[in-house]
Amino acid sequence: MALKKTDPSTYTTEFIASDVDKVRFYEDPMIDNIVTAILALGTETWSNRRRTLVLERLLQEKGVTQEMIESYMPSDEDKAEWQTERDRLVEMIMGPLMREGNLSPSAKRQHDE
Amino acid sequence: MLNRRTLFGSLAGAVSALSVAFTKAAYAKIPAGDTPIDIEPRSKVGQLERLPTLDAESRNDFLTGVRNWRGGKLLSASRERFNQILTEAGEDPRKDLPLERIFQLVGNDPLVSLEGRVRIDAQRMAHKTFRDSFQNHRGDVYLAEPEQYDKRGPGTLELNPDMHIPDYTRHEIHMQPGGYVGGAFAGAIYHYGTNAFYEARGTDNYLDEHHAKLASQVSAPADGRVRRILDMGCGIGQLTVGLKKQHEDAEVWGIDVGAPMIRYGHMRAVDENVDVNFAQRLAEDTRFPDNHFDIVASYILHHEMPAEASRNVIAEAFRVLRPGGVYVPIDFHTGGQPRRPQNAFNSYQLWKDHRWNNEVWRIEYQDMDYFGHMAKVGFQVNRKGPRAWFNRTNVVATKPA
Repeated sequence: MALKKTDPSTYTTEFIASDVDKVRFYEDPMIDNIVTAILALGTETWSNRRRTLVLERLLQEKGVTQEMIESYMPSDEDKAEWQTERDRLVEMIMGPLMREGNLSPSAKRQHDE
Repeated sequence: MLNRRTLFGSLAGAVSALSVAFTKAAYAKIPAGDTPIDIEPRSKVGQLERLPTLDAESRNDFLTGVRNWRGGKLLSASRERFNQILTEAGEDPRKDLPLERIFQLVGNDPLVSLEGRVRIDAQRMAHKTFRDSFQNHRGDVYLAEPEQYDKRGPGTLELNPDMHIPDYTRHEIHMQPGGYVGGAFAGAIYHYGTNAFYEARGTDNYLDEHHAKLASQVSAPADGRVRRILDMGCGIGQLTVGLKKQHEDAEVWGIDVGAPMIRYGHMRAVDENVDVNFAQRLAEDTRFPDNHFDIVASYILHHEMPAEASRNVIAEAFRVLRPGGVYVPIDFHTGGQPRRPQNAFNSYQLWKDHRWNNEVWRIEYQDMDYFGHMAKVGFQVNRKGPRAWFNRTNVVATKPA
């Protein structure tokens, strides 16, 4: 293959890309995709949780204790705002599980038949 | 696209913006006023700089937990299921089987499939996390950082941008984006990636303890004379630095084909004020004189090259060693070395490691007549040297005096 010269700014050169992103372990490749998505979701969940732990520790040092956090009573305004956010998350995660698509990828539009 | 001028333009502005917080104080032996700008906004854990952002660090933390879970609970369950399937099909799981038969039997099992899927995903996501955290978070500054170290000591760095890069070195080994020659952040990705690997295996390496231990297990020549040491395929120079600390009076060289790797290694050595020399050269063509070194070592190099290259490296090690010098290549099991039971499950795992973890040459290395070739070029081969790679007995080859 024709190789490019070394990039003078980073001293990098052409590499041979792995095809690992094409491997599927399950008969239905969508299951592979779902496992990957769950792992990504877990990664982001822990990232957010860990940030919260950092914030709580810093707040504690500033006088905001765990007890104050646990016993915090949301205002009506808080409740309305948070409920909207909560319901958005519920729909985002649970909504796709209710999908009942039954068209094959090759299906024609109904009005074309 | 970033280029060198852009980088230095950005760096000039970034230097003032990054403030004193990014400049380390511990450069006692480096002349005042000559201190490099070490981009280290979140301090260090041991000798490992913390990743650029809290989110990147947390993502890596989770993925390290996943690796640990995958290598423990999931792997164990997967093995049990695998063996059960074979037994029910009338096969003996203690024996090896052709891969086609293995895939036919276990190919659709959800648990066995999950182990393969999670292993790849955890590795890919971790690498992406590392790369993106540097690239997308003051990427220009991080790319410019090695520039300040390239011509700085102690120790030297030799880069050869016009050298021939053999095709076998261009693969994305371990799925690392860009591999060792094609990724601008190859050194950092390798460092954080392997650190997570060691951590998931229960081996703390934040202070390069693993490599210090390996260096202590590299045998010295029988006459005790150690003036020059060569570390072949040194990567980011963790063993190179370990060898220097082990033999303070020796001149120590680390060579590797990957310029981004040795630039990162040189940067770390300068930070640590360790006087080692790095050069972008091939292990099979070191360009050092005959009979030059007392010790030639390497760490997990040979299984990343085809057998032909491996044989050439062995011959080159023999050439550059002085009579009485020792060659200590620390690596995976190969022809004739004690290996774990060759049963169907291990064969299946080896295949996945070779094919999907992109250990391109591992099977070829495993099957080659490694020790036979050492003897053929003239080495006296001791296959029961000190324990090294995860407590595995290591070969020590001596050039006859």
